[in-house]
Amino acid sequence: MSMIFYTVATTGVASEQFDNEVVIINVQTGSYYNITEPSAVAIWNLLRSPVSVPQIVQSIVAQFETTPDTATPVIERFIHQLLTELLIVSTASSDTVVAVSIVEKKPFTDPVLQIFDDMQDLLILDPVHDVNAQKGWPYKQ
Amino acid sequence: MTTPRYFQLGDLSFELHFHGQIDTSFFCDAWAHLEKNTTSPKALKINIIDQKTSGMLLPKELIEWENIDPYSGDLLNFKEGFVANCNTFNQVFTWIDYTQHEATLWHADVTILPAYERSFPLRRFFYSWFKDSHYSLVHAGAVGYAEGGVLLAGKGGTGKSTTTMACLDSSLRYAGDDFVLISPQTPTAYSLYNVAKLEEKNLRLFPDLAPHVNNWDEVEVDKAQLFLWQFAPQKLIPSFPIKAIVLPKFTGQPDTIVRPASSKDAMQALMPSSILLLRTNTQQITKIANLVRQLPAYWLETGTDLAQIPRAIEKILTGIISHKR
Repeated sequence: MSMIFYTVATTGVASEQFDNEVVIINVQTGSYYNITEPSAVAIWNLLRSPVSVPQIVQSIVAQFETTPDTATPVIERFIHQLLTELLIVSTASSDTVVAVSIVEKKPFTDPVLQIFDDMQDLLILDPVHDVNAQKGWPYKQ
Repeated sequence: MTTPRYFQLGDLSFELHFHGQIDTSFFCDAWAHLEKNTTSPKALKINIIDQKTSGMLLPKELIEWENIDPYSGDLLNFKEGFVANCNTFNQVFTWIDYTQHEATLWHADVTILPAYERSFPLRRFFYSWFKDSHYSLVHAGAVGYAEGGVLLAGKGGTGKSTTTMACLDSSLRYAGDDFVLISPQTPTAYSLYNVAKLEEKNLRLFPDLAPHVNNWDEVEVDKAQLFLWQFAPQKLIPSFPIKAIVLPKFTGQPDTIVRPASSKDAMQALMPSSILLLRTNTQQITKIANLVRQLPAYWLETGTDLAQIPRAIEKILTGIISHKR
């Protein structure tokens, strides 16, 4: 069975990191997000290049006080959430090498994605394009 | 064709040329504080066309397009050096020729534009014009002095307009309460529109402003529009250096309190609505982040004693400006 890799979506998704917090937006859906847990920030930064879940687990276990058995299901859940929000995409291949260095391990808390959808109305209330308009001006008649 | 109108926005001169029977005040009143009598040779020429009354049709080659981005209305795979945008809701087709310094906005019928467009005309056009420059439009208010001021950031309903209107009775001057132009490099705020917009319930907080409401017939369903150049032109300021980002939050308590905010808080208040209201591309997020990283941020927990609001902002500015002297 071939390995699945994941990476941050290149269309419509942007993020900026401030100290140890990341703000993310998906302009296509109008949702925006915070990640503040150190584990979640570490995973998001890994996803800037295509990585597999086992590679993420390996990196997280090296950085945080956790085990593969504990970390794997919560990381899978977090990845599933990022996929559901269209913030990451799956890809078939990767040449990413995840560097694992021995560091002083930090306490592990479950990665959390804080979701804000209170701006979605802006896209609905102030539309620029009527998706149902088949022959609206200046469409070809 | 009516006489062109000339304006100065930062270092950009622009001209509005009208074609057809158009109520020019609809497009010009919000810019009135930036109007000038002469133009410059390098001015950006913007043609506003009403197809219905001018008979000027969209050129055939601009009708020959296949794909549209439903998020922005931009036509995809168009010629390099140009932007074409189709707002099928308001029936406005925008064509920008960057090399010729000229743009044209064809309106199928200018009379169908929503009344609120009068308060911030051409905002999406100016986002497109500036998108690859160091300027960026942001959804924020701005008040201050020539030597420095603050951006007021937050999504709709957080109190940006109430805060800016509370500052009218102070020495702070007004650069905007909805959209302003910023240059993160310096960083500087430039006034775009001289229009204050207040919901009816907040308008009641400022009874002295009631005679200046421009659109009483719409106030039950839309925000009241007040054009400051008509009744308080001395309060308007075209630009100032930005010293801090202030995040208003109405508490309902009597007093106004200032608390430090994080860069993440400032980004979260400023970025999402700036991006989504203007339908910008994701590169604008980097510009906003560059601004946020350079500036201190504060929560402004606004109270019911409105006089305390400008005093709190003045105190923030005094602290920063005197600290840097």
